[in-house]
Amino acid sequence: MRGYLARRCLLGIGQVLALAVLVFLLVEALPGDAAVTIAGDDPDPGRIERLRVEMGLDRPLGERFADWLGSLLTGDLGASAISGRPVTDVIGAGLGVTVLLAGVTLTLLVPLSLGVGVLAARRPGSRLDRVLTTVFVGLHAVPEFALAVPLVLVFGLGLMWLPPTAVGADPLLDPLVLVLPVVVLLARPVCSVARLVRAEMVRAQDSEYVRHAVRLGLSPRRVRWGHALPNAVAPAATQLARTVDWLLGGVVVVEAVFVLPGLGTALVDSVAARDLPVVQGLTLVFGATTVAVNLAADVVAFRLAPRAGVAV
Amino acid sequence: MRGLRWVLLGVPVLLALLGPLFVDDGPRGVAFGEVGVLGEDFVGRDVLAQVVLGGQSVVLIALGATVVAYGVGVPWGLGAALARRRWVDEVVMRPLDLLLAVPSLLVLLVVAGLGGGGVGVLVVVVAVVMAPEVVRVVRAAALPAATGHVVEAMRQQGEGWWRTAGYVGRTALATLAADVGVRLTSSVYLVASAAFLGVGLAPDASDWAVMVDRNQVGLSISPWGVVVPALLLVALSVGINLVLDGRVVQPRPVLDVPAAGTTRVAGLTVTVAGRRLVDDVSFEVSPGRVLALVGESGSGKTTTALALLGEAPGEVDGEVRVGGRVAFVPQHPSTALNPVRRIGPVLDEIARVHGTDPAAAMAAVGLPADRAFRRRLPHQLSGGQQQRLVLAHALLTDPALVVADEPTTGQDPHHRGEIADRLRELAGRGSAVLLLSHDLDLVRDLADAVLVLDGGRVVGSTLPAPQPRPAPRAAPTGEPVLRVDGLSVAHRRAPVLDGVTLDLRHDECVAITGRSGQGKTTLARALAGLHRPVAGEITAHGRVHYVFQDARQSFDDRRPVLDQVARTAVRLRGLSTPRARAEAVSLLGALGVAESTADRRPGSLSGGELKRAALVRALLADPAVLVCDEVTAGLDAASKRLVLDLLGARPAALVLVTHDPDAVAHLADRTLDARDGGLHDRDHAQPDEGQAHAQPGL
Repeated sequence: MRGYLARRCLLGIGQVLALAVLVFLLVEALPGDAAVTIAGDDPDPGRIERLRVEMGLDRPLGERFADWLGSLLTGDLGASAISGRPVTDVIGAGLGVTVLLAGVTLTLLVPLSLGVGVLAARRPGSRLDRVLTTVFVGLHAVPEFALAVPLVLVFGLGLMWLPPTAVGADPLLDPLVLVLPVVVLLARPVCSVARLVRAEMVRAQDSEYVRHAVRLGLSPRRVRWGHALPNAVAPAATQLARTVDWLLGGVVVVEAVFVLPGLGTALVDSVAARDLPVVQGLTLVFGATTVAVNLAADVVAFRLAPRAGVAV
Repeated sequence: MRGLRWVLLGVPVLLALLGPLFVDDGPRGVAFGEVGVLGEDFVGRDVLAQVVLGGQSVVLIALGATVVAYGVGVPWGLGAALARRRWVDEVVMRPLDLLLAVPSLLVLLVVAGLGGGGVGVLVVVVAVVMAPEVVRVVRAAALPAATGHVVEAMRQQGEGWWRTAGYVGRTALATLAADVGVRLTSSVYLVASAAFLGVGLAPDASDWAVMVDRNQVGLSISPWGVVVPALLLVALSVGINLVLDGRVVQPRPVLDVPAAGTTRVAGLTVTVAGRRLVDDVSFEVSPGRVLALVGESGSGKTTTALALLGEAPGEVDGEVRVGGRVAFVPQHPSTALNPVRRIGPVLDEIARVHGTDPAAAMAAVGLPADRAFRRRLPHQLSGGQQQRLVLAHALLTDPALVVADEPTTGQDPHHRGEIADRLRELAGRGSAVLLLSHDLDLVRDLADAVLVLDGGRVVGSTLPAPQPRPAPRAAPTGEPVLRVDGLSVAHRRAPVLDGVTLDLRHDECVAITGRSGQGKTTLARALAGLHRPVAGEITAHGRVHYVFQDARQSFDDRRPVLDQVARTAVRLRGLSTPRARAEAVSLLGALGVAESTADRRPGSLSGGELKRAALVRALLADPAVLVCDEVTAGLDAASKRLVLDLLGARPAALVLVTHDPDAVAHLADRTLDARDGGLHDRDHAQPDEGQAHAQPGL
């Protein structure tokens, strides 16, 4: 197992680096650069050229990437090409909001989706199951903004129970501003995870080992939670991993609707401004998150499906 | 419910498709024009006109992107699944992992930045984000079939790549049909989110998502410009999902603890859909006695047992009374053990319910109860240990009656002896035992009384006499057809057989026996070229054909069995289809499978019928060597007789991998024992006494 983890970590570092190269090339391929952004409303070709030389943007592609990689090895992510702030500061500012949102959402997501999934599978085909399944299926694909707007209208502007946006508020001091964003963030993942849990629970409950457990006289409750559920969570764990990855990758739509400046907003802004150092820094964070989350998911999946063995 | 989902889907789709016919997208930004019922947005544009026009882009882009993603993803995924070399699969799949790790938002931003804007660009962007997922889904859905027995059988039959790919694609179809809904909605989700973020469409476009973004600022002034498009998008997403997911949820039986009664069955009749599966069966089993229910498949044994458990299907009549708890020892213990639970805690859990002692139960079945053993997962036990663990479970419930269903199926002679000993002990401890089996040797060995069932009725209470064993055959003298030299095979990198050497003459039969896990099946598959050996040489004069151990898994369940059987003669011997079918029908007839039966799909044939069909499929290749893997396992006595007679006429040289002493006695010229990584000659003159009475314990 230890060897496997080491191999996966090395592979992960390789993946993150390959990702950095890919993103570097992609942003490079975009029309315009940071010099054009700074020049702004006064796009005088001469001035842009001077800015480029000043910022070192006239140097060859390979040299600039090598520079970036070199300083990365010393732990330096560089500074924003636009504002001059260190990239770590820019990321740090957004990271707080993103981690807070992801943390709260995830804490509610796991018990909620497991509970609802098991509840729906309790009597497959019953009225409760049909209603829940319809909701899982229906709500699953609704874009966040389309869900957020009616919610804001009703609870924020109509009933005035909750703040409609988080403008100017510190979420830690005023946790009420988080209620609507978290509800909107929860809607889709709860549906997709609970749906998988339900399907797998129905399958597990129909298995020979569950029938065996029932025949042995164990209580239906123990059979459901202790014998069927452990077999039903493997696919849900994979889906959860993807949800965590999505939450930590910046939930840009929710950030935009509720004015919560997280990593998603930082990414949109930096790509728009062609602020390559910030884009690269964010790519590293997102890439490392993806690798780490997938590794964790595979380790969990290995325990949950021991017969499959470890796949590399 | 059904009506609602069509309304949800219909309204936005009809608006999107027909809307542009009614409303002209007038000059942009012209305020104070004619105003519709929904009023104006906060910059003074007519909301109704925009709503009517705004669905077209999202519906068209989402559909287009889904079509493009599938167009690329399906062939890609199928190619990866069917790759016969691992590195091809790697080369095809690895770049996708990288693409999946790029945040999809970044892909959206960058591609939109590259291409400027417009509908075409959005289609490409969304397709690029979705295609890797489609490839993975297709590959994963196709992989089990692509590496399964049916594809192996088709390759052995000489089927071409296209037919094989067609079969594999068809098995993936169900998964893909379920996936289309997910893709279509996630495509709507991506398009709408992209448009909302201002990617791809102009900020003043008449598009539902763009409208929500643009008018959000004026939410409190003119809410309709935000709420109506938002709700239409919700309706579209929900509608697509509900309509595509409209399959009815099948009600299933609910978990229920079986009721207890007494150990007496009188006039038991079970009727399912007008057919009597069990007809007026009566018996009694008293504590300490073993009653065997004997009969061919379909004779009503299992249904009778299920009635004792309170789990019989259909209508149950008559009296069933059990003097306490009934414990059931299922046919395949591996399926009855929870794959993710360590065995110790499960034992404790059962013991707590019944107030019994787990250590004593483990000792009674001869399993260790130390910490390390209790921490094992079921797959870390051998087949024999699993069987005994299930018995320990049964003991822990302190049963009045133990029902054992075919406890020796697929077990090697050593384990068979052990299981017989455990069941005998169980009876010795005061439980009644009801044994269901076709294994007449086991029944003779164990049962105090016998009931023979046929067609659901009791037809007798004595066993048929043992079949006489034939005199040894004259030594074969024919030409050698198969020569194996220094062959080594490994299973999942663990070497199982090393340095195997074997010569086979054209009229000879070699039986390969031995305990399970000794590499017999791996060797058999290697002989037929289905498994790549680690080292050594196989020289064959003529075709070597493998007959699958699990016949059901080697048939495509969507085509009639007869067609699949006859294909061998069409592909490998160039016969016309009618002639191939005629040959297949006559051979199947000789094995007791009627044409009308064989002309059905595998699902409506019994395991024994499929077993015989698989044998005929191989014989039609006119092979020089036939490699039979447990060809008699699971056959009832009459069918087994027919199979042994047919093979006794030596249609080909035979390699017989088997646990069945009858098959060895009737067919084999010599017997090789697989053990300790090699094949060892066994003297044929002295039948192996150890088979009937193996030593207990490990």
